[in-house]
Amino acid sequence: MKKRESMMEKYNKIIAMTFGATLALLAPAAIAQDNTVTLQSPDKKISVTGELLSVDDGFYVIKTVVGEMTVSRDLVTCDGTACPVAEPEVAADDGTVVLKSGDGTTFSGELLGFDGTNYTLKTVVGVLTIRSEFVTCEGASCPSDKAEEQVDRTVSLISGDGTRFTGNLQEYDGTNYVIESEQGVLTVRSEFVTCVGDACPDLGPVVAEFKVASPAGVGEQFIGKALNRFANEKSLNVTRSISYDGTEVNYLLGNNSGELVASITVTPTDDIASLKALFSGDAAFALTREAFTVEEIAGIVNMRAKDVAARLNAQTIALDALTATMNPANRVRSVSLKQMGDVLSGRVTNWKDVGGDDGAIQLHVLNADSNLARVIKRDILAPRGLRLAANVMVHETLDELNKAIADDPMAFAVSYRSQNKGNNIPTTRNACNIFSSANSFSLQTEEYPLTMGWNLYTLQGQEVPDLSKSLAEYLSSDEGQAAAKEAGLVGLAIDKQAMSEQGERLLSAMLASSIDKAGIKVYRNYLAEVSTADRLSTTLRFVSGSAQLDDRALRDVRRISELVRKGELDGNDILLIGFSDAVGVFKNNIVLSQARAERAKADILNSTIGILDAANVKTFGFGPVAPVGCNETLDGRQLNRRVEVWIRGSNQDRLR
Amino acid sequence: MRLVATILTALFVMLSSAPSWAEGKPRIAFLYHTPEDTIGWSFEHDRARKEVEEHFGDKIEVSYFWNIAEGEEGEAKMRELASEGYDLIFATSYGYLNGVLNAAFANPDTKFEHSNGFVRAPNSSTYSIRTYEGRVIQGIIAGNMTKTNKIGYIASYAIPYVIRDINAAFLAARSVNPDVEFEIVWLNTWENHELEAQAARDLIANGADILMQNTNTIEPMKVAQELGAFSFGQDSDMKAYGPDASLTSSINHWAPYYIERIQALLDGKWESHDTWGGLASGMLEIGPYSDLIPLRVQAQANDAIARIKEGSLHPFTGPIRKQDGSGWLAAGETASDSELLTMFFFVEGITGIIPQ
Repeated sequence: MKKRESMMEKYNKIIAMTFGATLALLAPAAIAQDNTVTLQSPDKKISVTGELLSVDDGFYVIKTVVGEMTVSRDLVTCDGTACPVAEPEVAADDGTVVLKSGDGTTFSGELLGFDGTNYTLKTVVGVLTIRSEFVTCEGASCPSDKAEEQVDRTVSLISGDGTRFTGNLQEYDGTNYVIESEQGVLTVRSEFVTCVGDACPDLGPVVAEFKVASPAGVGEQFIGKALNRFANEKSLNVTRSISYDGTEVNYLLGNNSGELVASITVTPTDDIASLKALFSGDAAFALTREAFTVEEIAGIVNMRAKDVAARLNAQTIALDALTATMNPANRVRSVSLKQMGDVLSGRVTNWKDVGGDDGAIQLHVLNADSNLARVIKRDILAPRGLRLAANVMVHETLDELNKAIADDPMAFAVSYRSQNKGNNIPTTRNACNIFSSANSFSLQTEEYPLTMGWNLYTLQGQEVPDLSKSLAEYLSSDEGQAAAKEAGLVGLAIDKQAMSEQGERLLSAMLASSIDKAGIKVYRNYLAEVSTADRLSTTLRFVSGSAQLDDRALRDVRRISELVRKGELDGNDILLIGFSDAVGVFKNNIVLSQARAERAKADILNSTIGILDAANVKTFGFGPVAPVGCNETLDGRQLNRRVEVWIRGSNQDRLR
Repeated sequence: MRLVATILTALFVMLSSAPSWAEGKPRIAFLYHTPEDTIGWSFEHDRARKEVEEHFGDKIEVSYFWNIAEGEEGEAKMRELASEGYDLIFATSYGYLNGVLNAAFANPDTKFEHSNGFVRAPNSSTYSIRTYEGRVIQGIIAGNMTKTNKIGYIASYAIPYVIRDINAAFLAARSVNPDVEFEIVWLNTWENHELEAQAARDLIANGADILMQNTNTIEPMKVAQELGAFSFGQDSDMKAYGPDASLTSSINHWAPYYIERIQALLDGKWESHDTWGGLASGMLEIGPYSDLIPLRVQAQANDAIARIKEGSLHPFTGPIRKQDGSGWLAAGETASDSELLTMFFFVEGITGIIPQ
């Protein structure tokens, strides 16, 4: 089919006819001169190079090898230093406006008109008609709703003591008013005055804007749910705005009038990036999956440990745990810590070696860069000098890992308890055969060996909106903790467990401890005291090598005192039962553990002065019986040095 | 030499004034920014292209190009087509904007039609649909059908186009159900499969049993189908992806507009114009109703369609207050096009926040 001739082809033919030669044959001048230019047709098919002799409104006159030519300016583009510079159609201060659309497209030029729907804009390329709903207008010539010239810009600034400054409002920058008064130009600090007058700025609520760095998935859900509750309590509405690439979620908090009050961006990151964001000022607070020491943080953010310690506030905000995870159909019920390491390192490869049916174990892991991989290496593999087996299936996300386990009957993985949806988590046994399931109570009492404490980090002296501080506080409140629970984490709010649910723990304590007759007597004593009591989910522990309660315990003491204030423990006695590790003489350990219980009692009474009667707090010391950790290891011994908290009806007797 | 120039210019002017096409046929091109599809935004433009070919038969020559990316690729293609002598080019997506303008100014001979554009050169036109009219029907049906009184709205950008749609849907839903609430999520994109699917799940998990969307994919409909919720088709009838979930659809029907513009071209009467067509123009169609919608409600919806078409029902008729409680439309007062185009506020009763 014959192609329709383009304009340029016709043009070409006409030129050729006129000159008897095709322009395409014209070669550029051999020596480039100062006023050599190249004139080209828009499709670049026609090109003329030569010396630019003159330019006027409509034409270029160019001297080429074949002779002088006059070329219409609007048919060609000019390339070369001698080309006239395209003059802006308008003088910069004469009616120039910039129209900007939401996606960043900009048009600038002279505003010829605005009919309420369209702007007519004369730009360098031509006249454009632009739908006003899609653009904002910047520039003195932009149409405005109220004719500003008519607004009386006279304002009065009145201070608390009645002093008044009157003048023409020139400017308000959020901090100062600048007015031109009879005396001259005054700059007045806005916080000390009230502005009266039509031209006064509309001081709407200041929008609190800040970022929160948090682990993805469960972390984001924790914050999201907490934010919803928080907003609800403040009668604010929450609307989510998700960044176009889905990486960040912006929570917009507004009042019922639709006014924006706060804009909180939650950025999912790994722990190391979160800490960096906190110290670089990017994030108002950071949530991490586990606690970091001051030294570790100093290394991460490249500061001295001393400086980090001076500024850092840390708080355990929720609990999670590492657990072995298997397919729901897998009948294995219990896996020891040692077995976890053996399977992960490939030393054990068959299910029958861990109490299951004969079959090859298929290991599933998360990619090596992940937090999870790092923690597994550090806490399970490295302590025994082990390395991850080679024959593993690697997954990129926790969701994919979970799904793979659900699909593969032979699967074995070590993952976070909070991520586990429906897969089988076996009971964990430690080296002395103390077993515990990863239920929320055993995480809260830290008797589950691989408990991880989610931490909330803030910095002192940060310039952050008050709202961010309120939100950080809120996360550790009962409501915030309820949000943690909804997100799959274990909260720190104090829980209660009846004696009947303690079986697993007490049984394994019995089996695990190597105690003699004296020990058995003490143990029976312990059971007699607690048989009619309920246990609280907090275990008070001490700063290593001292008689001081550690941070977590201090907070738990505060939580207990809250329960007392709310009257939730009315009619009950608090039983504080101290324990020790198994190192040293038995009798001494009894005394030591009793001292621990006394210390805890003192702290509790101190925070409930006038409310709690000392008579309602009973202390006991039972030494090394009922261990929760292996006395053979440093960590296990630390775990055993504790005070358990039980409550028992005041009229209830111990078993005789 | 000046004579030559004058002759050239004169010839140029002659050649560009009267419509003249080789073989007496104008050449029309359609550009689609997505790969060939069986549903959705581009599919509907192509469906109109087919109707155009059927309508005009031999009188025109039509070419169409799938998967021409917005931005540089689109601009290059338009310039190429213009230089090859195409007379009218339909750029069927907003993102072709800069390309349309640049190609239009470089080829003053060629005419351009830019879908959902908001800037016109002297030889380019823009056209879009009054989608808010379709939202009235969705609101009436959703307000009636919801059991949880919660509608989940998957929004793209905080621009009047979207805010208007949300407001219209809300007002219509409230008119049949004073307890209905909307939960809005802003995705800041027109199209993203993962984000839309996730947003749909989140909204349903949060209590919504009916979804509406301003975004383009079939994901929300698929999620609604999976989770036993309802949704509305966007741009196309999405019943194939939501046999139980699809209540109805707002379908883009570009053919009436395309036929009108090509006829104008043939008649030598084509001019740069902005067209904003709704139900009355035939550019917006309402898709088949689900059998689960009671006949009474279907009748209500059909009645609304008829009255909007004839002009006796305006989707924004007072009394309506703004979200902050201040007054907007008095009883019986209707919103002007200008107000609709600059709508940056929610109406009273909506608790969502508009990002700045």
